[in-house]
Amino acid sequence: MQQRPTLTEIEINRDLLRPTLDTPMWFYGLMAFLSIFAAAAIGAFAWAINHGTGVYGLNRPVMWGFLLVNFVFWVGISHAGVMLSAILRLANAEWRRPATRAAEVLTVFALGTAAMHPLFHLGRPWRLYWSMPPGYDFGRGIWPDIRSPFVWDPTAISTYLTSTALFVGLLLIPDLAVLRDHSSGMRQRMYSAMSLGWRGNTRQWKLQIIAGFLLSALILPVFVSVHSIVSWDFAVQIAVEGWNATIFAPYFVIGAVHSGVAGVISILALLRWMFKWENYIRDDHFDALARLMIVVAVAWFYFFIIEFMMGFYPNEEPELSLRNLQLTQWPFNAAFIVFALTSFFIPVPLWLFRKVRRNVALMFWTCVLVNIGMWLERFLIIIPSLMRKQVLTFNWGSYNPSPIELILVGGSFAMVFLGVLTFVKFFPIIPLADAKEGEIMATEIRVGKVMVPAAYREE
Amino acid sequence: MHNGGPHGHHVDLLVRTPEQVNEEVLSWTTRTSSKYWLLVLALAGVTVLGVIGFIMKASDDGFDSHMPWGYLAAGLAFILTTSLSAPLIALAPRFAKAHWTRPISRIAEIWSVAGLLALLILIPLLVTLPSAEGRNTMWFYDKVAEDWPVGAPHLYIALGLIFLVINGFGLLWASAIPDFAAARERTTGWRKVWYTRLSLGWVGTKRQWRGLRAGLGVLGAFYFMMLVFAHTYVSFDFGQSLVPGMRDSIMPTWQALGGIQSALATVIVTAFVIRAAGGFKDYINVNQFWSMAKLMLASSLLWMYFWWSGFIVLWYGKTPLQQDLLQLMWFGPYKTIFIMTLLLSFAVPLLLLMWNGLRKSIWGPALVSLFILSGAFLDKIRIYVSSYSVENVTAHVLETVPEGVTPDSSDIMMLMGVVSGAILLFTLAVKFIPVISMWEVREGMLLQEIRPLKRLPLKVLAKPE
Repeated sequence: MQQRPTLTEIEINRDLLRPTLDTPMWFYGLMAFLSIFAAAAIGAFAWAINHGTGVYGLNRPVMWGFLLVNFVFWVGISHAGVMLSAILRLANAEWRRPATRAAEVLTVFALGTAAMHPLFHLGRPWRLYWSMPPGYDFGRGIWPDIRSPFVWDPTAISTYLTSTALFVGLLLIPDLAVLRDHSSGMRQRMYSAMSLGWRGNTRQWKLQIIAGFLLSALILPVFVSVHSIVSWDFAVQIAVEGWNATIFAPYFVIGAVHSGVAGVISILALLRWMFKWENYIRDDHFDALARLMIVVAVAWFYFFIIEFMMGFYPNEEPELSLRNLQLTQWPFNAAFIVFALTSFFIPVPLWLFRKVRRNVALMFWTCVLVNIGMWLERFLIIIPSLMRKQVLTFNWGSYNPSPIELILVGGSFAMVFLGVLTFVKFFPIIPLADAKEGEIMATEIRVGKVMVPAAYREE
Repeated sequence: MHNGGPHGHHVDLLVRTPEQVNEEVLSWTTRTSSKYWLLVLALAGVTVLGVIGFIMKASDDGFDSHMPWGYLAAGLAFILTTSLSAPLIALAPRFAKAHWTRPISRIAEIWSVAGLLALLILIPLLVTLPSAEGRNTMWFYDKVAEDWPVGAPHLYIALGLIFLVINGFGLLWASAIPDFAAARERTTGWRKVWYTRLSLGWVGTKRQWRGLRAGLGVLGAFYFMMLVFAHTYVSFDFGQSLVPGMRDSIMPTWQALGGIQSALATVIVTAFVIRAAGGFKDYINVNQFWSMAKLMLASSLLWMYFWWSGFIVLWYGKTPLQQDLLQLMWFGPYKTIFIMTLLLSFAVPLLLLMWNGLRKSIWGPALVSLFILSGAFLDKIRIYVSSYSVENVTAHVLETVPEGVTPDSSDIMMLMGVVSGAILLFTLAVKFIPVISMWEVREGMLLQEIRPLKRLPLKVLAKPE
């Protein structure tokens, strides 16, 4: 049987607001620890600004390195938010309840971190302004090529970031009102202002639900467009082997969902361990998420096989050289083996077993493996293609990341986790209203001698 | 049956005894009217017309070149994307433990009988398909060593489709075993003999149920994989690999997605007809159409996204080869068909299905499904007829953009025969295999209730592990 303890509203408030209202000391220690890495990344960035982009390991022709790999990785992670929250909300899936806000918050911080990476790549980051529509210097006849995905990127990412932040903020309102009523002083004034006079009357709930559904539906095309545009940064370049593929947009999107949902599962496992939320993030939630992961992983693998096979399909030397580089030459061959094992061949067979799906530790580690694999996937797409290691090419080269790039990559992970923890300090990461609604909607149906878990369904 | 509630709410739930379910479904399955036989006769007539068209084509053009057979290839692709994809609509919701699929899952599965027709069509297509030698192929042909896997591509296409059809029949049979057992107890004569044989001694023990569920899971997973594989090799071997220089990696995935969209449309139209013809209005109600319409809206949006994702890369590249491919496939002789496809497979479904009132009706999704099926039919013609129109398949690049191929009378007769042949096989099957999955409906009745929550009557859905 599913483990489903009955929880009262008081218990839900007490348990889920504990990290916010009664923050344990170790929490501050963890934040301080992560801050060291984040500060190191900021220092590395300052160093790069001061000394120029020569401090990176980039060279001709490998002009995009670890920072671009990391950019694509974090944009990918950010796709979990809408995937889980909007789609499962529209599908009225009961098991979405504890996962939605963690997914949305991960989206906000992962996307914010991803957005920093193009800045790292600019020798003069303050000139990013020129890539934004208000900065287009029409007066001097400098027209950006608006047909370029590089111009679409800032628009798509900023739209996605804005709409996701709005989504989080809107769905947070009822919980902010609860916080307002449970806090005092400065915090109460802050929550009071942010909860916009929420009293929980019928009209407010009706508006809240309608707005939630509308935003869910409207945000979906934005979510798809972001990673599609990121993929077109690569796919429209006809001169780089391995990139000019029509499948890239959906392949990137499904890959993003694969890594993003894995990221959410990892975060949920950490939250459950840190705050002892076994009654809220239950084994059956991991089971459902793992089933979703099986579907996503198999779909992603199909796209990967088709994309990879197309390298061999035309039987042309440049493409074959690229596949040769990816599959047989150090260190790419090792990276390829690790990528294949960690992103698919280890986790997916394990998830077929119910015991694994309901084992939080195994789910956490298999999902970490997925993200190791998905980071390497982006590495294998970007670096070997740029190296142009093929017959009769005058400028093939290699790439070694510099310490500055390694610090920035490591720091990006610290920044995302720091962002999520900061959110946890101020807001409930599991939606109180959703948890309470889940309690009301949960029931059982008797079939013979067995009580089967059930839920009321509003249509 | 409608269970009314305050505030204009209503919830649909089937109210029958298990015995009534068996009685109603089996009485329709075992009863044939003169109208039914008239329909069978008409379908058989059109199918024979298709066979005549095939004979005419064979005698006029022979089997030496692949070029005259583009329309038949489109027919095979259409069967694959509709009839053979339809069982997916039973599989995916079963995996997700969705209750709404129960009354229509058998309708979806019965479409796998059209696999027999697909196998028949495949024979002449394999005979005329050019060898893999000297051209691009998904079967890893090595141009330098002039070597490729033995029998590629013909042997693997044939094996792939044969396994898919066998798997589809296995899935249909396994899913119908408990219903065959119920029919065994309630029929006489030749039916009883056959139902007894096919029910494999089913008495409904715990072990048998466990075995059935495991079997359905395994067969379903394999069917899904074989079907996706079929979409992949059909779109490669009968499509882009016949066009020198064409590299459209999204095409197989786009075709597989189109299969989901068309499968939904096929099941909706069939459910609409069966509901009316069989008097199953309490079994197949607005819930089934509403749920499928939501999925159809999503799949129509994805269809457009996939098309656009592929198109933009080709359009953006603007190399001479890419421009020629755009001419061949989209903006040349098949431009009108392409625009019609865009309208029927995307624009019209979006504009209609975006309205919940239409989604939540019975006629709305059925009407949109007809548009989608028409769009899928035109899309297959555009892809496969244009690919088949290229003469020199071993050239390095597309040397000239060929003229459009207008169907002759034998092509039209063959296409009509393909469509009516598939419907004929389905029509014959529903009078032997219970068209409503009785055991799934009975199980669903145990797992659904209507209970008041506060003062509002709501549906309660149980999901056993």
